[in-house]
Amino acid sequence: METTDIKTGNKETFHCEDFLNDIDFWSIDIAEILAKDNKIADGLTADHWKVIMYVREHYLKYERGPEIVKVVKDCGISFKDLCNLFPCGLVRGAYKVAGLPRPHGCI
Amino acid sequence: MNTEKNKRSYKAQKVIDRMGQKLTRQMVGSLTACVHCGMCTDSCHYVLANPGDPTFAPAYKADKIRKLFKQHYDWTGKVFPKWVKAGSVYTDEELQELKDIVFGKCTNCRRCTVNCPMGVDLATFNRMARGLLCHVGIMPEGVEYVAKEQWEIGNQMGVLKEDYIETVEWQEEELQSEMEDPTAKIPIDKPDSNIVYVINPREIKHDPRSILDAAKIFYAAGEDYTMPSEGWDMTNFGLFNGDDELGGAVAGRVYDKVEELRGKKLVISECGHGYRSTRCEGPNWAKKDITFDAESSVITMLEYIKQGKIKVDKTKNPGSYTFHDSCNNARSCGLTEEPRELLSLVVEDFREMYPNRAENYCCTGGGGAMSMAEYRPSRLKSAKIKADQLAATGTKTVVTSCHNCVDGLTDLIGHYKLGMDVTQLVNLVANALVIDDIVEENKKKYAEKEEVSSGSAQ
Repeated sequence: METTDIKTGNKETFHCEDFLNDIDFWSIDIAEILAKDNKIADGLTADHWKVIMYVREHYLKYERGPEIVKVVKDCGISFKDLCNLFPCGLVRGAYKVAGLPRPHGCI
Repeated sequence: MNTEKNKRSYKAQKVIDRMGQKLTRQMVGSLTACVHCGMCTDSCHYVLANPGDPTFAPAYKADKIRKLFKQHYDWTGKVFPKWVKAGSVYTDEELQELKDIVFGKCTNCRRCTVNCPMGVDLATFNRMARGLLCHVGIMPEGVEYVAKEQWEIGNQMGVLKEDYIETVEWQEEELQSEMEDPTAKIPIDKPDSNIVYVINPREIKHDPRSILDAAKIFYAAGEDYTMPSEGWDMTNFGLFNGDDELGGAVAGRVYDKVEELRGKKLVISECGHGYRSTRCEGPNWAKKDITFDAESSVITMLEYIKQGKIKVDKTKNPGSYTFHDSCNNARSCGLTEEPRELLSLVVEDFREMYPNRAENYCCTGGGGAMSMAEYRPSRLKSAKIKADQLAATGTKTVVTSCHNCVDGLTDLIGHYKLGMDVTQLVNLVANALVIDDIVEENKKKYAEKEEVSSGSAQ
């Protein structure tokens, strides 16, 4: 994918579907590029960042992404707004832009 | 001292030994019946997308398992081993190669099976081979992780009970808001219900819209149903990793909860492998005779419309739609006509995809392939067949009755830039519901109640 070369030139950085392999490799610049690749055309807003930072903190604490109910309630946004913020969904949108590795299972 | 055994690695020996315990008559029939006619070759999407590579041919893949059977468990392999191509495995590296075949080059879709004149069921013994490898800890990382979660936490996405309940309650609030009815419920653990409704964990973890849609349909039909607080995951990685014990444990949790709640019917949300595992294979794995009916939610929704319990308006779903048959639903469970009948009732423009029903091509994410990230490039290459099939329909949206197919199709649609949407029947049925009169009535009823209570308070 285009972003792979833009950021590092190192394809090892990315795992399946261009999820980051290593959450620590993530940066604000990478988030912006991943956002553009995932249908967030106009850049990341304060609401995006609220969700992104929540998702990252949850992963760093529990080693797994949060359930969608937690994102909606703890970030104080509606489900509809979350869908609008991340058109690719919670996993392929918010998780990916936040630098989480690709979750296992049927996704 | 057995020198033959000593030549083999510990894991290779365990695989050989366990094979003897897992062979059934059906598998032995399949392992001995192949006449290498090649009919399976053209039926496999991996072959069609890799025409120059014979290692994708079903008969080639089958021979990698068959040689072990011939060498160790069939008399022909003992009498004339070279003629019947008997062989063994000796090293862990060989087991890794076998892993890449049985997990990475086959989605257990069974299209070769329905096209085999001898009835060879490759997917059945391919699953057995997966189970043998899993028994010695050789499997894709994603499969291992998910199987562990399902065994230890009770569902494949490691959702805790309190999070599950919080999500259902959240969707109940959404239901109340949309229906203008503060008493609308998504009951949890309600005993003696007509229906116990079980779902795929991704509905809880990532996208609960299908829970709300199902709740709207149950509400409109006036159904007496419940969702269980445990045993609610109808998916089953035992089908994918070939572990009958895992399959039995997961399916058994669902059955035990339905019995505890004295539910009359188990309704399984739209998921191909979940439907097959819970309705068809689970009782054998769990060694249990289930005492209640079990059906796909597709049939439940269709019956609601046929019986006049819900009204739908197909003009609410404009655009063009095609239908993708899930392999497990269509080829393994015969669920082919009901989804089409239902789809025709809720959309105006339904166009058939060719080939279809039991001859449909896999979404390429079957057999747990979506959890095996290492094989994604090969999977997407083989998905060219599916992409061409989808594009030929000229439709905007593909409908499927399987969560796994939703993800497999979404991935390949993005990769091949088809620009199509993917949705499920529950979403279309909920969207087509004619419920304005119910909502208006609720609005008036609860507005009046509020007036009365505020008046009496004054």
